[in-house]
Amino acid sequence: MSNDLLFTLAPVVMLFFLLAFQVPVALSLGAAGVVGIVLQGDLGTTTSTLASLPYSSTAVFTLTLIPMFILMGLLVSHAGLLTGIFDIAERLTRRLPGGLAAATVSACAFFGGISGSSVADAATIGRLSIAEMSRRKYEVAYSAAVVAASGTLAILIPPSIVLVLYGILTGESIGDMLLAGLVPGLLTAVVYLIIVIVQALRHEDRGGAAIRSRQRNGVDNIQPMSDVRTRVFGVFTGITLFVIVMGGLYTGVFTSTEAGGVGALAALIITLLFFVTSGKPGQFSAAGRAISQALREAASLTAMVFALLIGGGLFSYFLVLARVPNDVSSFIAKANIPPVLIVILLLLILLPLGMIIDGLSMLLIVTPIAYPIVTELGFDGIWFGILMIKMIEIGLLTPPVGLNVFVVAGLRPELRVEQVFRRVGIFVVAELGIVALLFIFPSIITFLPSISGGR
Amino acid sequence: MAAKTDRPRRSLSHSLGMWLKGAVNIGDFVAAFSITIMMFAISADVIRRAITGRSIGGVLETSEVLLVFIVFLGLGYTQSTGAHVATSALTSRLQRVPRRVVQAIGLSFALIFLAWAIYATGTRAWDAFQIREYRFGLLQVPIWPGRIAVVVGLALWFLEVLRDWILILFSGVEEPLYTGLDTEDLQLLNSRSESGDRS
Repeated sequence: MSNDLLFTLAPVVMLFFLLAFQVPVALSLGAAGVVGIVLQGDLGTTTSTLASLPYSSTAVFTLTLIPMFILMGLLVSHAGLLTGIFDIAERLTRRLPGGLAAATVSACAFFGGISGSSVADAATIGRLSIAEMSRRKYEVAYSAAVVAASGTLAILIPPSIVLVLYGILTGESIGDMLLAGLVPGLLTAVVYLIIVIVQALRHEDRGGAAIRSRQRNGVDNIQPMSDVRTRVFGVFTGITLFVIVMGGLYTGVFTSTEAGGVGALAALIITLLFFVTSGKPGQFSAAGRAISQALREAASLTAMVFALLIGGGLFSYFLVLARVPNDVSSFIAKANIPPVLIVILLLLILLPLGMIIDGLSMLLIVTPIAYPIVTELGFDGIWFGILMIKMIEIGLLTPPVGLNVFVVAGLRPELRVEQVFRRVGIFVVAELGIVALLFIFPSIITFLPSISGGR
Repeated sequence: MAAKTDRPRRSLSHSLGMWLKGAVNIGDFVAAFSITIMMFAISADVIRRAITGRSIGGVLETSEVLLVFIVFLGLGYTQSTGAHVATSALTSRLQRVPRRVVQAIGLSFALIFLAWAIYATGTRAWDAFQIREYRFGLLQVPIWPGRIAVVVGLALWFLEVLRDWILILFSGVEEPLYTGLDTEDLQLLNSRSESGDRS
């Protein structure tokens, strides 16, 4: 084996060892990247990279969008407005077969437009909906699977941190990325709705029992978990924040970066109004607690995301020094493989990778290699980004580390992770079908960015 | 005799543990405060531009420095709450002792990496402080405080990882002498490392 190949492979192997040893992904990427830079360059180059990269890859105005989006979702979540959103979704879907499962899908799609975090969606909505579904004789594992799958909607429906990160990593317009995610996200939500309706019609323990009960006793009036005011505020918040972020992008009143700041301020004002107008004693301190908790969590989550970005930056720098993207590109060119097949292969690689590491980390490791290849072959970077993020969504649902499944299974002590993985299978198959559809008809993705005038 | 000699050591380690907890909490508080300022600054800039057609000078540059504060001063707290993403796909399948060995080996590499990063960014921060480095823009915004925040944040992260490393090695001991951690902390770490999902 030549020294060049050895010096390139050693850091990659080290990365996987550190990941396997449960070292935080950010530190694994950083440590392996630093070893790679030493092997490709020298100690001086490595020290000067370490001295400058953490600051230079953080102090970028565009990146302020990340803490602002995170804060926006956390404020709404800590104000307790999600209960209201779930109740409204339940009322709108109660006449459908599998009404509660449909309510879960709808609430996740709606909340996804605020939180931008799949795990947050799954955990928050899961707490509310699994208990209700169990009461209506839904199988618990199936209920958990619906929540886990619906949680993934947040990754595509803007504002999404993953979409923002892809834009940052590749230089694609963040505004266009946010717009491009909307239609595939909503399409996925519609497909999920169809699945839960069909499942309810075919299975007694997936909503069928509730249909039978309704036929006997009329519409089942489920006791709402929130008061009218919370429901009104929940829906008002969702619509307001979505209009601010997307409307701002379309009208050009502010940039995609500034949309985060304005959205977060709007969420803060709504949270304050929600508490202050309740008329209950002690609401000022309750508001203060909710806001300070949201701010602290936002700081912590921002640090986590940026640690990944910085670690990923060091590892990418090593890959560039080792000329890995160039070598892979020229290898592919020489191999004479049809370009479409290359894209399919790149997407398929994400499936097993998603079974080992989480979505954000996967994005940081794969994008610097895959994006230049795909765009050099003449494909649209935004189209590929959405397809890649869809595959990451699938990774959130597949064993052994499907994060959403773990989070949801953790909500109920009697649930075993394997049971949920089994029930989530149908949603994974549907996801693969949607990826195929988006692959064949790219305009589903590129349609919105193109009419916004950005492309 | 042993009990007598242990007492001051426990007290010292406990104080160190409490000091670290306080430091990471202060770091996260400053980060949270910086998010608030950033949110108001960006929104004020948008509102002023919409009304008068003119931006507020220095918002862009200040937001960049604030972002550095948010990110780095939150790192230690994030480690202390176990929020940094890690995968336990392999370690959860190992017995207690081999699991601790591989975790300790892995974290040793992380500690070396962080120590190197602290040295490199520390040197850079010292240079920036000496020349009072600032960023050119509409306003000259000083960036040397941001560079110092990078070092402070990385140091807090290093100390938190060191604390986890010590815990992994010594949590089999009934009363860890050097960590200053209480039983609740130990149970938390054990449950984290034994859970099937990620820390």
